[in-house]
This record gives sequence, C-alpha cells and structure tokens, in this order.
Amino acid sequence: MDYFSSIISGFQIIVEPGNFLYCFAGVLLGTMIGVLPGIGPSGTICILLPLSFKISPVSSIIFLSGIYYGAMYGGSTTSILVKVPGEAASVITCLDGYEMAQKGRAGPALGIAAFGSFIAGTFSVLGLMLLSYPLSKFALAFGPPEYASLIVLGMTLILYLSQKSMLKSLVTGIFGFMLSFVGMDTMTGQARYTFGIPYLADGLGILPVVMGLFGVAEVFRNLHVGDKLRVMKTKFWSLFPTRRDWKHSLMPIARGSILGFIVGIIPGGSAVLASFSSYAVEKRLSKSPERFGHGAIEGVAGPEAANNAAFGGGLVPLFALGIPPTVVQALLFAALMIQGIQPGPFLITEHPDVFWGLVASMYLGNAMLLIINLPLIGIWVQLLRIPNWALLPFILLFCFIGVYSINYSLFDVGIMVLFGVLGYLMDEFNYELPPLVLAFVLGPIFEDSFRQSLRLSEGNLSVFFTRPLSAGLLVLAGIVIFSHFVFKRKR
Amino acid sequence: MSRISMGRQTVGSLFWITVGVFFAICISDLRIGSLKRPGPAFLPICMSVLLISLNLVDLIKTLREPPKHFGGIMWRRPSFVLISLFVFCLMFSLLGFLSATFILMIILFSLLITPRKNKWVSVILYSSMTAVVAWFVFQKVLGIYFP
Repeated sequence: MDYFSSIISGFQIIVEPGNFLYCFAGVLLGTMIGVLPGIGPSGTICILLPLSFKISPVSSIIFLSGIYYGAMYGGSTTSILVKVPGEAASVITCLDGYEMAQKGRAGPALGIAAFGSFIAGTFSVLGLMLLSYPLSKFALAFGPPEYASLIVLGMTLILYLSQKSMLKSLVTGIFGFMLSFVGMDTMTGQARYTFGIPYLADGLGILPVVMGLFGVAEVFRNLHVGDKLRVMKTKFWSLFPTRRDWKHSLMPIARGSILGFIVGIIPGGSAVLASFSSYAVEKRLSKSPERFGHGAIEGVAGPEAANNAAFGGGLVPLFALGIPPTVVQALLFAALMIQGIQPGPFLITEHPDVFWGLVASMYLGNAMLLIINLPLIGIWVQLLRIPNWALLPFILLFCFIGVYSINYSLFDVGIMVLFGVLGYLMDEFNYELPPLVLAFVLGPIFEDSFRQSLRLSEGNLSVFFTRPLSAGLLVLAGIVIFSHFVFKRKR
Repeated sequence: MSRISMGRQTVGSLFWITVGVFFAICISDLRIGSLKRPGPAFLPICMSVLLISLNLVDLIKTLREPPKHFGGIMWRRPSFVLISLFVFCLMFSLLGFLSATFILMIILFSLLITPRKNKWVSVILYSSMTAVVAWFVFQKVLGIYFP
C-alpha cells in the first residue's frame, strides 16, 4: 500500500470546505463538552448522531471523531483549574494538575497537557495509519469461527477490565446480546421479541438505545447536582512550559503515547484506563514518587498523552476488524452502519475516502486543538458558569429531536426514554453500561458467525478449537479468565 | 464489598432472573434447532439460561449473608421529568412542536431553577426563547419535519 499517496488523498478530502468546517466544528464542540462536567463525549456523540445523517459518511465520521478527541483536550482544563474533571479520562489529571495550579503553575500544566495531547494524538494517528491496513489484510483470513472467537475474546477483555463487579458486567453483557435478538432473525426471517409491533421488526435501533442509556440517563443523574456556579480562582501568566518542564515531561509523554495507543486497541481499554495506567507507570518509574499528588508535572503529561492516544488505538480494531473496542468506537460503528458502510477488513479498500479522510482530519484536528485550547482557555473556563438548569432541558430536548428525526416516530422516543430509566437504575445499582452497548452492537455479528460456524462444521463445536486462529483467540480468552481468578485468589 | 448494600444486590438479581425468564418464555414458540442447524431460539434460550443461572447463584450467595438496608434511590426529580416527557409526547401530536416544547420547558425550568425572586418571569422567558430557537434551528434550518 502506498501510504504517502493515500494520506495525500486524505488531505485532499479534508481541505474541502465542508469537511474542514466539520472537523473544526467537531473539535470545537468536543473541547466545550470536555470542559463542561456532566455531559460526556459519548453522550454528546449519541445526541448528535442523528444530525450526522444529513451529511456524507466522511463528514459524519470526521465530525463525530473530532468531538471525542476534542473532549480529551478540553477535559484537562477543568481538572487543572477547578479540580473538577470535565470527563472521566481527566480524573487523574486533577491530582497533580490542580496542585500545580495552586502553586501558581496552572499555565505550564495547561500547556504541557495541550502539547502532550498533540504529540500523543499525532503518534496515535500515525499508528492507526500504519497498523490498520496490514491488520485488515490479516483479518481477511478470518472466517465465521474466527469472528465468533474474536468477539468472545473481546467481551472477555471488556469484562476483565471492568471498573466494577465482573459478574455484574457479565450480566449486562448477556443482556446486551439478548437485546440484539429483537427483530427478524437474519437466517430464517422469523420475528423474535417483536410482540406484533411492526416497528420492532428491524430491531431496537442502536440510536434510541444509546441515547437513552447515555443521554437521558445522564440527565436523570445530573438532576440532583446543584446549580451553583463554579468560579475559577487561579490566575496564570504563561502557558508555555519551561525547559525544565519539558525535560521532566518528554519521556512521560512518549510512554503515555505508546501505552495509551496499546490500551486503546484492547477491547474495554478505554481512555480512562489508559490515563490511570500511565499515572501508575510514571509514579513507578519516577526517582521521586513522593512528588506525585503534590504537583508533579509527569502526573499531568503522561495521563493526558495516554488518554488522547487511546482514541487512535481504538480505531485500529474498528477499521481493520469491524470490532469496536469501546462505547465510543461502537457509536462510530453505528454511524457508519447507518450510512451504509460496513466497518471491517474491506472498509479501507472499498471506502478509502472514509478511512484516509478521517486519518487526515485527525492530523489536522490535533493541530487545531493545540491552537484552539491555549489562547481560548479564558473562554472555556467561562463555560463553567453555565448552570445545570440551563443545560439539562436543552440536552433532553436535543435527545428527543435527535431520536424522533430518525423515523419520525414517537415509538423510538419511547424506547429512548425506557432505556434512559434503565440506564439510570443500572447506574444506581452499580451495573456498568459499556458491556451492554458493546454486546448489543456485536450481538448480530456474533450470532451469525456462531450459527454459520456450527452449520459449516455440521454441529461440531471443535471447529472453534481446530482452526488455529480461532483456537489462539479462545486460548487468550481463557488466559484472561484464568488470570482473573488467580489474582483474585492471591488478593 | 462495594458501597452498594446487599438489599440492592438481591433486588438486582431478582430483576435479571425475571428478565431471563421473560425472554425465555417469549421465544419458546420458536424452534431451538440443534447444534447442526441452530434455530432462531438457540442463542436466545442459551443466553436466557445463562442470565438466570448467574443471577440465581448470586442470589443464593447474597441470601446467605446478613441482610442489609436497601438504601434510597433519588426518584422524585427523575419521575417528574419522566411524566413531563410523557406529557410532551402527548402534546407534541396534539398541539405541534412549538407549543409542546414551550410547555415542556416551562415544566423543566420550573423544576430545576431554584426558588428566587422573579423565578416565573425567568421560566417563561427562557421557555419561550428555547422553544422558538429550537423550532427555528431544527425545523427551518435543518428541515426536520414536525407536526
């Protein structure tokens, strides 16, 4: 593959006025969302998904991706200045970033977060560009047993990496699979769980489900948050880190970039996990770990690099294998599917404009973010003054309009509200949502692959173990499960 | 053990067992098939059985431990919002988008804005602005059809 001419064609796509504006709009909106605590990037992407149908697939994926990695940039601003993480992946930045701000070093903290994010983002795009095509070629060797085994491995990793109870994550994952069965069976054409309702013949629809779980449920969660204005008290003079700051930050940024990218590729390996892992690594490698938690710049540089690199890493399995590793990639998966594009090994060859347009937009988007974030810090902080009572009704209305506009049906709105209630209760009862969403998205692929495998092998389950690739994937899944029980027993 | 009490775990397990039973019953009229030719009910039944089994094991484990307090769930405001959404959907078909949105915003802003001087003036003003802006942006600019 000629990478140079492919990336040039990608840049030709991104410099078209429409795509350029969508890239800018995405990163700008993403930064705003990252700054604002409450609604996260996943919720925002959910809410804006229906609007993306009005534009081309390339523009849609550029816009939605921009929102996510823009939010990774924006989240560090409130973490550093107000000790309130704008989004989950910036939680760890609160520890040292805010301490730096308290000591009058908010500027270098913000500056190193922005530069570190830029370097990591650029690195992850390079990795995406270089890894996706070879991996997609490798994936052409995948048959139904390999796909089924890959999804089993993916779901196993998601469960292993779950933040809360593994059993509860397994339960929600199984429920996600069950929800994916609603509609017509692809092999026999028989209706399942439709209860005679014509709207359910095509299944539940990914958009009402995710907008309910992440949009409406988020509104319910934030109804109890006070509407007191949050005011910045810290002043800063210069946003540029000193030479000494760079000396302390370069290696953490490099390590964070690589770690974040690798974690992003793994199913369940979210930006949150990437940033926490990076912090742990930096603290472990530091010659003076006692500084961490008291304003160590490495505690900002590494995690901020890692959470940005994780997004690019997460796009590798999405584009190469058609397997979204986290909720965000699952939403992009849904966006592509709705636009009639099947993510998977053939996407790069059949829709090079989508892949290379996105790659080029990420290079450009990272540069835009560096330019937007630093001079406009003061403006972003003013966004914190927007009270909840103004935001929440608007988010709810946006969710309603977004879901209604899919099929102009109030039934979809009803599904969304139902899942909003379910999402809220699941959070109250400590059940994780990502396994549900991922299983819901992967369910149809898994069922088709599994049933096809059994038909091909005349009902012989050993087909999953006699094919080397499939066996390898299942062995990996077994190792993951085994290691969970071994570490659990040791604790 | 997490901060969530045992009472909630019991309720959670019972809920998922009920879901598993419901899904199994609803698919029971379709063919399960065999390993050679898995039918449309094959995986749904397998998943239902798995869901029920896991939660039964968890329920038995939970019931053996000392019972704990369920703890409160904040339900008042979410319930209010839920009812207002239901009212909104009814009004949406009857009165159209603009009027229904105005009513919804009145309800939501009145719930969320803390009591203060001239609260209702603010509620009506913000509701009107939101309804008009939403109507203009979504119907006129983006071309989404509303009744």
